[in-house]
Amino acid sequence: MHKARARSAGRRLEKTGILLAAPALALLVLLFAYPIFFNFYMSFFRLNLYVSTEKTFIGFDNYVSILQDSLFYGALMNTTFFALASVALEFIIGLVLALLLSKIKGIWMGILGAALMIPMFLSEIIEGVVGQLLFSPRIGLINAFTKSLFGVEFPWITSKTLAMWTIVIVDTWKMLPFFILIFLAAIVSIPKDMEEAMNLDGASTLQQVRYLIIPYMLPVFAIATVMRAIDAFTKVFGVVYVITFGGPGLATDVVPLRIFNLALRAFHWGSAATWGVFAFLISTILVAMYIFVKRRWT
Amino acid sequence: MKSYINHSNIFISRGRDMKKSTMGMISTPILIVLIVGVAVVAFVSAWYLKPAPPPPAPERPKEIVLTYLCEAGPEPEVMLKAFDKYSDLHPDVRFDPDVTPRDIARMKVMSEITEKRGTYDIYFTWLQDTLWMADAGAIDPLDKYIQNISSYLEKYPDFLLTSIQKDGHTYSLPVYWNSLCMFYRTDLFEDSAEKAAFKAKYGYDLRPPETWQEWIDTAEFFTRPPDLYGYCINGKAWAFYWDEYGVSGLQSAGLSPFADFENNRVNINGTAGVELLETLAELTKYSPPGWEAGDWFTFGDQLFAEGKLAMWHNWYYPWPTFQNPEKSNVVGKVGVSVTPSVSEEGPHMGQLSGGGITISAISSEWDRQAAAEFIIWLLKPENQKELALTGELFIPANLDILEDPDVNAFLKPQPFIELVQTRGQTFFRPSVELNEVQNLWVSESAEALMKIVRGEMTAKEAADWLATHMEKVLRERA
Amino acid sequence: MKGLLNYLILVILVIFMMSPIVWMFVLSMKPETAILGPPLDPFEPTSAHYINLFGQFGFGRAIQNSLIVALVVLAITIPVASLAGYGLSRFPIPGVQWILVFILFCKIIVPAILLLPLYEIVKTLGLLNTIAGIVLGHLSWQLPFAILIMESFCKGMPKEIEEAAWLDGFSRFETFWKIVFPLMAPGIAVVGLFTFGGSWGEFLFAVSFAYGSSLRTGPVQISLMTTTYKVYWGELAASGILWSIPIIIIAVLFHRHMTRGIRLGF
Repeated sequence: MHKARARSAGRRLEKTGILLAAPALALLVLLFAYPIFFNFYMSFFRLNLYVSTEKTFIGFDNYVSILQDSLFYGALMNTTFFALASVALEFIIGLVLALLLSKIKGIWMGILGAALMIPMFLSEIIEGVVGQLLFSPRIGLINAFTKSLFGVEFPWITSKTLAMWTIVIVDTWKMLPFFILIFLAAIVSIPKDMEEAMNLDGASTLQQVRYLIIPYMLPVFAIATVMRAIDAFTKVFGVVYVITFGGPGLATDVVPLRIFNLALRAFHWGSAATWGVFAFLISTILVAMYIFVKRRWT
Repeated sequence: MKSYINHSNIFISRGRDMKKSTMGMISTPILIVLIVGVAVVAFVSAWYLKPAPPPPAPERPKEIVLTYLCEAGPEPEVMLKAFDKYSDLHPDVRFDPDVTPRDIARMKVMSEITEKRGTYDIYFTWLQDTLWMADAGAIDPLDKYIQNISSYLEKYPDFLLTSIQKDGHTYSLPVYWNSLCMFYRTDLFEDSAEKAAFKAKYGYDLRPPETWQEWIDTAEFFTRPPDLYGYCINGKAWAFYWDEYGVSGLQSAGLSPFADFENNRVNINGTAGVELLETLAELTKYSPPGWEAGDWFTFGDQLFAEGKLAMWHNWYYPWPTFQNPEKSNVVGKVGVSVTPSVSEEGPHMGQLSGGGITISAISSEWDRQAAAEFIIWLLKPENQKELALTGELFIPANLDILEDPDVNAFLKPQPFIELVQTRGQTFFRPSVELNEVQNLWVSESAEALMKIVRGEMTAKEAADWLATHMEKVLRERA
Repeated sequence: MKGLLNYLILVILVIFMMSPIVWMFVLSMKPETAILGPPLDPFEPTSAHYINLFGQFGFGRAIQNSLIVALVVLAITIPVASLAGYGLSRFPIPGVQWILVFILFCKIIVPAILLLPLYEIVKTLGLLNTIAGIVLGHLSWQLPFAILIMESFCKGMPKEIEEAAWLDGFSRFETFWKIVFPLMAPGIAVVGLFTFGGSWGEFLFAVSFAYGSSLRTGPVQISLMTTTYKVYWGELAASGILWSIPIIIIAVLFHRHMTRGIRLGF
């Protein structure tokens, strides 16, 4: 009797859960079912809109040609480096800032927080413009400063190696608020009682961080990192496009830029879709890592 | 220290809750299927129940709205002033302009062509795109609506007309055109002391360079850092390709057409092609620092206007800026010459660029009619003249207008026209296929230059590397 | 002493983050010729760029459009995402892992590729060139993000409070409304901020799904300041400054939700 009751109670819980999630899921299916399908479907065709509006089925040819292209690996390496560097920087600095910010009381937190947040919400174009205004060889502010103070100028976007780091710096500046906000919200939602209990037990700040805050925030850590890493492979396009256009040469050539070029410049939808599938696969690997972390620690 | 987080996952529900539940009958998997199914069905039905196009109106609507697609930029936007004027004169016709960034405009055109929905009535179409759009069925021939269009176009130069005419039909009304040329400092090149010094050093007379060797020599001669450099190579990939390398370099090397679409071969790694890359790489030595990230707008144009460059090769558009005392230190000191070539005989080729108004083939009949009337109005010389006087970058296509003294004074196109008519600067118009694939080797050509400059490869190796990539792109085309 | 050190580090970092913005402000007051010259030269301030923004570039309309889009997206995303986040994190839905993976997959699609199919969808629904169309486009990338953030937040919240509430006889809805929702406040504040800010500064969908000057949002208008032949640096800088202001306002308004810890015991 109790078992049946518990089972049907369990089912009711399921249904409530589904009802809660239903509107969201319905919207997502409506918006994404076709694009996801389109992406995979088109990768098996050759569709170059300048040539003809009819697509021709070519099976795996798109994949073969990309895998044989050395530029594919170049773009992949650039993007991976970018993802690692920027996510690491943003994570560490973001965490530090979030911890610091959480200790501030009153209106100052709002003001400082607001100041920190602006970079992320500016339009992509302005980010790119800011990047140019800071790092450009001629009109760049940073070189003007260093030149007048120390007499040196840095090849921010003109050197092969430094160009990628410049993109990392600009992206970190832009997306740091993302980590700060998410970490901050997680920190402040830790119930005060637990913190007070720890204080009563005589825990130092470091111990608090290690035993209270970090376990608490692991789910948030994981999702934020995964999302930013995925973004690096799929979305970080505007900044690169405006500041370096993949240059000098191919030094900052990244996957989203390639896809943009293929899809919206040359209108090679087949190849663009194939690149998209590759970005998808890489992101899936990241997602798998996320699920693994989640399983282990939750 | 024990963890303060409880990881229990079990809920305990109470009697009160069970009474309030009403979902006893439906099981969970069915619920999920229902929700997903509804979403998919909604979407699919919307997809298939496309609204039918409205039947053609029997008589002309009282008010016609012409939707205009154009890219953001001075040339297309000059049309906006024409629209206002026309609407003042003909209150029953309004215009709805859609000014979008270039890449998005391209996407919208593509979407129009593939979907055939008729969102736009008129386009501002670049010359090199006109015939391709005609082939794709996107635009209607103008002579369908304008009976004696050839009489209007008598005064238009031939090189413009061949871009827009096919099989006896005219597809576009050209409103503006432009090409590449070499700006140079007359005060430097015509100074007698400089001339003497140059002759002493190089053994021939100083003149704006007409061959690549002359280009290198003059650039070297005039490189006197930090205030003067001989030339400025564009480092940004798109600027490099669409100025020095692909569009004028390869053509002036005599390699045109450099892409063979039948056999998927390119000829850019032969002697002339390698020499071109060597020349351009050599010129980077005489370019101001920071050239690696420079492009026309933020770098080259500014530097030349400040007087820091002896030569600058670009499209003709910055000429008015160079003559503007507020923005330029070289007013009155700028001459215009041809694109240097592989040899004395030429070809000195720059790409012809320009745009015109075209009528969409997909919009409604009355809209097309109204658009044609607008174009006829636009073709009248007095309107062309007025347009020329509004925009600083507007080189009208009608040669008579160009020779009008007011227009002449305003635009000062003379050096450029003279160049075209006397010095043999010719124009190259890319084929549609070339237009498409060029986008796929822009970054790589800049990379080839970088490889040579960094010493990673010789010019021949870089040319081979680039050629391999280009041929791969060609193979993967249709 | 320790507090002061924290404060100091924070202020230094804030200065670093803000310096590009400050520089933009300086640029927005520089006359055009000064902008293109050496950066550190003295100049005469001018407000011409701001005036041009509202005159030549129609910024007033753009602000209005952006505001409407952002608020509508916010109004839809917050309830949908918080409900979904709560539901997915707390309730034993079979295959919840797969649902989360699906949502993550939605996030993975490259925008350039997402654009064309979504353009077709919006066109089919007849929503092209309407605010609703842009909103739909925005929802496509706002929703997955918001749901995932809410889900991970709810997962991290201690369940003891809810269980205590149920044991005390609260209904499920009351539990949600009175207990969980306030607990989620920081998460909702953050998601709200991201959603508003994201839609406020979004460019690609706004420019593709709408045309004509009456429906331009701010970022679209800003993009038109970099034309083929001329970049309006001064106006760009001014627009950047103007565009930051609502964010600051909303952040200051929301900071109250970021207060530390919730008192248990009622």
